[in-house]
Amino acid sequence: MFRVAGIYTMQIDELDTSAAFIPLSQAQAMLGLGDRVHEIAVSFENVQYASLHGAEFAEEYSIEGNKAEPWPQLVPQMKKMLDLTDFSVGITMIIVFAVIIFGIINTLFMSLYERIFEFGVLRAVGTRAASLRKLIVFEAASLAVYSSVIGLVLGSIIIYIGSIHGMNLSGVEFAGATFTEEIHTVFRLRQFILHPVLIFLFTVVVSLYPARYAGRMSITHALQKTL
Amino acid sequence: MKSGENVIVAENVKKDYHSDSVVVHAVRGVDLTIKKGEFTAIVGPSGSGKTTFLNLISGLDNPSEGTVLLNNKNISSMSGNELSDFRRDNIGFIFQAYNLIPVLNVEENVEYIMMLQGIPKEKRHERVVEILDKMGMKGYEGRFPSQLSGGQQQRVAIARAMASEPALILADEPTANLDSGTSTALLDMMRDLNKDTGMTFVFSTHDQHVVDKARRVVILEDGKNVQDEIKE
Repeated sequence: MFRVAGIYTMQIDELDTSAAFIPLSQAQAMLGLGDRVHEIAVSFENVQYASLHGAEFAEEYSIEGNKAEPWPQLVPQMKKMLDLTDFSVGITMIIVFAVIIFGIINTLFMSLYERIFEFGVLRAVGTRAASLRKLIVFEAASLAVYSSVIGLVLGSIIIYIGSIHGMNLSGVEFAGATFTEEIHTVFRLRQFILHPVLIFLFTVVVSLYPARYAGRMSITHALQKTL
Repeated sequence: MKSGENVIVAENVKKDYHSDSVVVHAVRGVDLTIKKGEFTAIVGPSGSGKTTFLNLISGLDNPSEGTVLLNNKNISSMSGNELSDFRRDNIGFIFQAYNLIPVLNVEENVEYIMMLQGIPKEKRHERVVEILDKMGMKGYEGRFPSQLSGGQQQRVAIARAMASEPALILADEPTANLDSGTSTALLDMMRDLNKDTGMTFVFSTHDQHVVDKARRVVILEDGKNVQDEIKE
C-alpha cells in the first residue's frame, strides 16, 4: 500500500493516466530487483551533444549485458517528427526563396519598365549596353544590401524581444513529448551571415536577367515616339 | 571639320517594320546631305517618317537598305559599342519630352555625357557653368528636373546636348510641349548657338515656328523627301 503524496501533471494523458512514481528502493523490493534497476535515463544539458555523441555513448555503455540507446532509437517517432519538421522547413525555405526570387525579378522589371524611357535616353546619349547592365546589377545589389541591413536590424529586435519574453507553449504536445517551459529565441550567427549572403547572391544572379534585357532593348522602342 | 563639309550623307535610306504579316515602309528611300553649320528642319505630317529618319541618321536604328554616313563614317557598319561611343562624341539629342534624368540635378544631367567621356570633374564643372550661363540657367545647377518649368527643362536638355560640343544636334519635335513664346525664345537661342558655335542642328517638326526659323526645310511625305528648300 502506498500513500499518495502528490500528483504530477506531465501534460501527457497516457503518462498521467497510467504512471505512478514510487521510491526506487520500494520499487526494487516490490519487483524483486534487489539493488538493480532496469533503466537509467541520462539527460544531456546540451541537446546538440546528445544528437552528435549519442551513438558513442551507446557504444561505450552497452557492456556487461546492458543496452544503452540514444533517444532517437528510444523515441523513434520523435526523431521522425523532427526529421519531418526539418524537411518541411527545408521545403518552406525553398518556396520562400522562390517567392523572393520572383518578387525580386518582378520588382526589378517593374522598376525597369517604369524607367525604360530614361534607360533609352541613357543609351541614346552614348551609354554602352554593358554599362547599363552594370548599372542595373549594381542597383539590385545595393537594394539587397540595404534591405538585408534593415531585415537584420528588425530580425535582431524581434529575436531580442523573443529571447527575453519567450513563447509559452506549455501544455502543447509534440510527438509524445510536452513543452513544459517557455521557448526563447536565440541568436544564431549562421542566420545573420548565411541568409543575407544568400539574399545578396540571389539578387545579383536574378538581376542579370533584367540587366540583359535592358542591354539588348531597342533604343527606339524604349524612346517610343520621340527620338 | 570645315564649314561646308558634309556632316550627314544619307543615300537611298529605307526602313521597313515587320509586324506579323504586315510590312510598314516607314522610310522609302531618302537621299539627303546636310553640311556643317546648317540649321535644318525636317517637316512633314504625322506618319511621314520624320522621327524614323532621325533615328536612322543618329544610329539609334539601322536602315533596312541604304547607307548613312555621319562625319564620313558609315554608321550602319559600326558595332554596338562603336555606335554608342560615336553617338556620345558626335551627336547631341534634344527630345520632345526633355527626358532629363529625374534623379539627377541640373548640373549632373548636363555633365553626364562628359562623364561618359572621362572628362575630369573640374573641367566638367567649368563647362557646365559656362553652358548653363549661355542657356540662361545659371543658378539652377542644384535643382532637379521636377523643380523646373517645361521651358527650363528644355533649356537644360539643350545644354546637355551641347555640353560635349558634338558636331550634330538632333532634335525631335523640341517645341511640341512648349507654348509659342517659350518656343520662339528657345529657337532664337538655338539659332544663336548655331551661329556662334557652328554646330549643325537638325529638327523634326510640324511646328510653324520652327519651320520659320530654319534656314533649310526638308519636307518628307510618305517616307520620301519631296521638297528641299534652302532659305536665303
